[in-house]
Amino acid sequence: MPEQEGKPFVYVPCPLCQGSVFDGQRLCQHCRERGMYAWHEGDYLYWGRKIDTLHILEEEIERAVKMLINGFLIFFGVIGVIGLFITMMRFSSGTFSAQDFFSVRSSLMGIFAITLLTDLYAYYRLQRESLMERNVKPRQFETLLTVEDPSVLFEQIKTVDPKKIIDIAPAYTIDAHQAVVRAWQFARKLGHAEVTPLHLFGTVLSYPHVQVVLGRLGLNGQALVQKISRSIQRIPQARTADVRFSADFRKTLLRAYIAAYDARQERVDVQHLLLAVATVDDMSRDILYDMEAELDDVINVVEWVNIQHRLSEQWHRRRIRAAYKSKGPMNRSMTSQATPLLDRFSNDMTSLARIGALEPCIGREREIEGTLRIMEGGKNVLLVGNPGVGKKSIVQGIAELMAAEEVPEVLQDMRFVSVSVASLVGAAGRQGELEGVLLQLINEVVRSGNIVLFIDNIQNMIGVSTQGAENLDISDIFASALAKKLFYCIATTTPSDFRRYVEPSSSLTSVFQNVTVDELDRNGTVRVLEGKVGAVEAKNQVYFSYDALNRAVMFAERYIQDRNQPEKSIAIIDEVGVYVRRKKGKDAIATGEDVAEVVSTRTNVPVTKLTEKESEKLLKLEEYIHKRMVNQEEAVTAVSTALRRARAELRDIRRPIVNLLFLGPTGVGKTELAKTVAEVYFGSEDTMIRVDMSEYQEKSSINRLIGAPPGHGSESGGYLTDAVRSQPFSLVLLDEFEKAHPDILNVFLQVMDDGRLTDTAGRTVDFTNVILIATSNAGTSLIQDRIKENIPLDQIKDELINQALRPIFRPELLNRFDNIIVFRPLSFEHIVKIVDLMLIQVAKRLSTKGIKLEATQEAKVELAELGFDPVFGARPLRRAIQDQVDNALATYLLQGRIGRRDVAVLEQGGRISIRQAKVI
Amino acid sequence: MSNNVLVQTLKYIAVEILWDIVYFPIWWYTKGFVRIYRYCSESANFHLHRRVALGIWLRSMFKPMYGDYTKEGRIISFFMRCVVLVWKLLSTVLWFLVLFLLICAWVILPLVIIYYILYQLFGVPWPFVK
Repeated sequence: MPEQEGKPFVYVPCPLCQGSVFDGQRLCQHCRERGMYAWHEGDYLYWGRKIDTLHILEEEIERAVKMLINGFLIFFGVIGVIGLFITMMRFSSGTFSAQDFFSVRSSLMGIFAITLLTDLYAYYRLQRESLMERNVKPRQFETLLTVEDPSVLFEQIKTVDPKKIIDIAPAYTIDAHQAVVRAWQFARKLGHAEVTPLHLFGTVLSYPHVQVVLGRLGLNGQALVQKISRSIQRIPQARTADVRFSADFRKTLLRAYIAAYDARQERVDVQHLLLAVATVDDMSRDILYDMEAELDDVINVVEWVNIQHRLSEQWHRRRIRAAYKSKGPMNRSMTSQATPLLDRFSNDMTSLARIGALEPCIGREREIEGTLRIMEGGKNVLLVGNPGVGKKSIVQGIAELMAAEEVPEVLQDMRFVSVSVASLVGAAGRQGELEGVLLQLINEVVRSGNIVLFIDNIQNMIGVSTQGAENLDISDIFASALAKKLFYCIATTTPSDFRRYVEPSSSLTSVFQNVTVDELDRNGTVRVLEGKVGAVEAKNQVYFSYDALNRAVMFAERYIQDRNQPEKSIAIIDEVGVYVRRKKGKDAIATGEDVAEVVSTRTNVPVTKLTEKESEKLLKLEEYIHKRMVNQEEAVTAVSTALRRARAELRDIRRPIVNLLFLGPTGVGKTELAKTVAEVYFGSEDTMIRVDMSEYQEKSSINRLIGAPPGHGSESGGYLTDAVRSQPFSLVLLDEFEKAHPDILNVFLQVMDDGRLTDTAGRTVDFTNVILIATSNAGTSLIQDRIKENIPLDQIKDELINQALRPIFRPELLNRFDNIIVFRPLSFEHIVKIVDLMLIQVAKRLSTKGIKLEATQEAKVELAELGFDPVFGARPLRRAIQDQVDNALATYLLQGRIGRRDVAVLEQGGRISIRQAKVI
Repeated sequence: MSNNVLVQTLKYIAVEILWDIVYFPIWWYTKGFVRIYRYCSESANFHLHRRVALGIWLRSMFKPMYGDYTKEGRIISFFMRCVVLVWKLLSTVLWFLVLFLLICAWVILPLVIIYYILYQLFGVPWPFVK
């Protein structure tokens, strides 16, 4: 099909006056003082109400006269009733009959007679007044487009059917009209020559509907007013008594009508004016943008208000329609019979829908329509979708439709009953009892003839049997009953359970037709949240801003991998509701930042805005890391800059936060730096996933890393994939990277480039939130030699990449690392510093027992000498400290020679003396 | 200016009151009548399809009630259904009558009131009251 071209609406300004209604000397007659039209799906819209001092006055007089007449009519009606009453009282009680009513003649009854006519007249006036207002044209099914030029469209107006030329002013609500008038008065008061959208922006802010929108946008009303006032003050003043509509103002009025039309609203209200102002006027849009609200946000929030309006309308309409649905098991044609057994194991969903107890189903019209169509064709439906995508919501939507009887004839006058397989299985104890109960239950359903069954997670039925494995399981019994087409059933399952259990069971697949329920996209999820957030707001007495919903969806998508939309977003807003009530109290607004805080605590990933303290920490990251690390300035700087980039969200979010390769001899601090990064960025060393690659030297060991394919032993996933799935924000440390089998290394090509890895179960594991660090001893001797020769690190690195690493790592793998960092071997001075750091660790452990540790400089040097090994770096140091310090202290502690508040002093020669505290 | 306002006001009052009074009977017997007719037909429809659900009942005339598929059950059901059908028809007829009276009232009410005024003011006798 060729793509449709053209626009659904085009502004058509008068070629002569260009929308100003003034052709230089006098009012423009070329457009009959209308200034501008909007071609909209075949109609020509224009604003036909004049606004000037005279017309405003005239309207006020009109309103006053109208009120006067109506008041007079009411007054006269009351007089008439009083007249009748007095006449009746004149008769002694009980003798005033209907005949008297017609026969008694008196002046009072005469007045009453006349008031009867005026009462009819009053009724007519009320009816007519409501009919005078015109509604926005109902939205058409097909959209008409035009490719014509505005000037051509203007010429066509002369020949077009007059019915297609529509004055939009009567479709405005009283509030919206008043806002337009006030904008005009505002411009006049300020001495401006034209009323612009900005004036309208200023006046609509005071209306509750607009305030709701602004509140949802999380905008500060006062700041907004100030910005608008400043912008309005910049408009030059003109010495003219006449204030005209600017062309943009006319566009705004027309655009508001189209906004109401698109939203299927009957009248143009103030929120549509706000939307139109933001769409048409650049200045207003800039003001909103400055306050972090984009045009799309405004559009979505107005749509949110519309959704709530539509949902409540739908709810009320369905309650009225459902009022006559049967309450109990008996249908309206009284053909059904009691179902005591079924009632024990089930919930009647149509009854729940009838009383309005089900939640609204949003954005699943396509699936519901598909389900109903399949059932109309006589088949049963299996909804296949991952947990949390909204299968039950679809089922509830169908129950709603059944209660309101808005379903195909085959499903009318039916009950929709949800059967719990778990309670069915739980209730049956003896051998063969379960099968018996199920058959009896099916019998009841068939005999009753008005029941549609719903079975959640039908895979639970498969393999359940109390008569031994060689017999039929209950799913076979159920399937054979369904195959007779004596009743309908809707069931659900997940795609993996479908593949694993349902598909091999041919009996079930033959009676069901699948309807796939996909995960909602971001927009769809936001819509669902907009529909559901009302309940959370009512429960916690807080309000959600649009940004909060949007970010909940965004964070859920990015940081919660093991669940599906919209469920994971709903879980977040549930939590945020409680969090905000506790933090800010009732009637507070839940903002995007609150959502970020909740997500941060839940996932340990910093997603909130940077606080000053955190910024400072990030800027001084090198200093912070050096509190734990000695030497290796290049490495620390490289890591620090990568972390800063990640936190400022300047990284590519489709790859891991950073991929680093640490090269250097053993014991120089490669692992220590990785641990430090885990602590700094993710808050704890425990977030580090350490994979010893020397364990993956065999090609087949890949099964342990990413899981074995089906049929190859254990069904559990791989070590790496499972770890990252359960902890998506972590540091993955691949120790001794060079020792792994080359084929296994290839797996990491995809991880480093695309940020994802698919395990053998077909699940895609997200690696975009990990810091990937590989360490390697490859080229150690080269590094040591070149360091001795005092060659700069950069040169050593180049030599390593071009020569020493060539036979070990493929170039494409090396290319994928963001940075290859060469660690220097440690000198003796560094080791002394490390002794310092390590003794601090020992002191920390001792402080829990109330004991202090001090060490003399000589003792430290001695320890360094003991622990230093040019080959193993600082690694033997830990052992030296263990032997020299820890062991001696342990003995003292056990002997009771050292107690709380004592100070242990490490001296030269490995001695430990104790300075005992004063006795208290 | 004030002169202009005065003219506008007078013009408005003239249109508002005089035209309104003239249009009142026209509206009553045209658009007003259509409105009341629509209301009645919607109400009749609702009664037929929702309140008594005559269609569902007629479709299941020969189906046994309460799932009793025995011969006796079928015979008793049929008679029972006939009784209920009569009751449903009766209620429908009654409701239609009410709606019909409503439409009639709409048509004759202004005439009766005018006649009543004439009787009260000028003693014009009622045609059917002795």
